[in-house]
Amino acid sequence: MRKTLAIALLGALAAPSLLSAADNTRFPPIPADKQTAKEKEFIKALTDSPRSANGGGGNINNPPFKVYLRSPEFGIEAIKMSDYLRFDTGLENRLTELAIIIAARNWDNDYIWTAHYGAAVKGGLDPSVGADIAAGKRPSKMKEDEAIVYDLLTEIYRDRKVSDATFAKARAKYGEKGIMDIIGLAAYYGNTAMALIVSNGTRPAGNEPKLQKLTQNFPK
Amino acid sequence: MKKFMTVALLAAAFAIPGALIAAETQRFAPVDPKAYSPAQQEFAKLMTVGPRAGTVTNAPFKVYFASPEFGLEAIKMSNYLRWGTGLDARLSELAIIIAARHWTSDYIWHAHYPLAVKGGLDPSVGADIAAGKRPTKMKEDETIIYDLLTEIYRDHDISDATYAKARAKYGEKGITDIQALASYYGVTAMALITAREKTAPGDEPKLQRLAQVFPK
Repeated sequence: MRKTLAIALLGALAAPSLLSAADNTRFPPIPADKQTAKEKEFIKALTDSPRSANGGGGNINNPPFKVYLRSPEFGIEAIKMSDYLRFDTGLENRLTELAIIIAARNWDNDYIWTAHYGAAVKGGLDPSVGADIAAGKRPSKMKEDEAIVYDLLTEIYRDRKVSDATFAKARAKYGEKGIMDIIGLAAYYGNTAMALIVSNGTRPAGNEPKLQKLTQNFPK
Repeated sequence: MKKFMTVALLAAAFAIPGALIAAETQRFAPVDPKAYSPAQQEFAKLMTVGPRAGTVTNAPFKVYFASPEFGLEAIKMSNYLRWGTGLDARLSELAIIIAARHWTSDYIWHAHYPLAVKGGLDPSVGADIAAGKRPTKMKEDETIIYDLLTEIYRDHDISDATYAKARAKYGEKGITDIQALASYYGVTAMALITAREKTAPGDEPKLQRLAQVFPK
C-alpha cells in the first residue's frame, strides 16, 4: 500500500506542471466522447450560427463559448439571442459594432474590444470614434445616428437614467424596437463580458487603440 | 382648408393638453392587442407559461415586447436561469439582488428582496448589501456567490481563491448559471432604466446611492 502510494506520488512529481496547469485552467475543453446530448446540441447551434459563415467565432474552444458549454440550456438561448441581436435586427454593422464596443468599454473588456474594434471600423465607423472611446473621451467625429446610440448607452451605464432628450431622439431615429435591440445588444455583451471574466479569457491584442484604465469610463 | 386645420389644431391642443403631453413622454406605451404582430402574439403567450405570470403591459416586459424576437429569447433564457438551474431560490434570489445592487435598480430590488427573504436568506444580508456593506450573516454557499459576483462587478476579475471555492461548491455548470443569472438581470436593468420605470417602494431596506456599491 505504502509502495503504491509512493509510486503514485512519484508519478505526480514527474508531471507537476501538467497537474497544476490542469488544476488552474478554467473551463478546459470537453472531449467529444464526454459531451452530453445537450452539450452537442449547443455545439451544433454554435456552429450553425451565421457567425461561422463570417469566418469568425463559432469555435467551441473559444471563450465565452466554452463557458456557455457548461450550461448548454443557457448556452442555446444565449446563442439564439446573440444571433438575433447581431445579425437580424436590421441595424447596420457600423451601429451594431458601435454598441458592442461601448459595452466593451463599460466592462473594460480587452477581449471584446479587440474582437470588435476592427469590425466597427470595417463597418464604416471612423477609427477615431473607437480611439476616443478607448481613451475615455466623447468621440468628436460621430455621425448623428452614432451619437444617438452613444448617448443612449452611455447614459444607461453612467447615469442609470436616460434623459428625455436622448430618449426622444432615439425613438425618432430607431423606434421602440430599435431602442430595445440596441440596449439588448449591449446587455448581451455584458453577458459575454461576465463569461470572459469568469474564464480569464484573453486574446492577443492587435493594433487597435487600447482601452485605458480609467475611473470614469464615459465622460460627463 | 387653412381655417379648418387651424380650428382642428386648436380643438385638439386645448381639449386634451394633458393627454397630448402624456402621449409624448410615455415610454413603451401599451399596444392594442388587435395590432399585435405574430411574434408579439407569441411573446404575449409565452409570458403566461410557467411561474412568471407576467404581462406585456408591465415593465420590463413591455420593453422586450417592442422587439418580440429578442423578447422571446430573453424570456426563455430567464425561465431557465430562474427556475431550471436547480439552484435554491435563496441562492438564485441572492444573485438577483446583487445584480440589482450593481445596477442600483430599485425596481428589481423591490421585486426580489422579499423573494430572497422568503427563500431563506437572512434579511440582514440584503440590508447590508443595500447599504454597501459586506454582509455579516452569510452562509458559506451564499458567501461564495457574493464573492464571485462582486469580484466580477467591482474588479472585472475573479481571484483564484474565489474561483476554486466556487468550482468546488457549484461546479463549472453552477458558475456559468450564477453569472448568467446575474448578467440576465443586466438586460432587465437596462430595459427598466430605458423605460424610466418606477415602482412604489415597500418596507424593504432601500438601496443607498453610493460611489462604490461593493466594498473592497
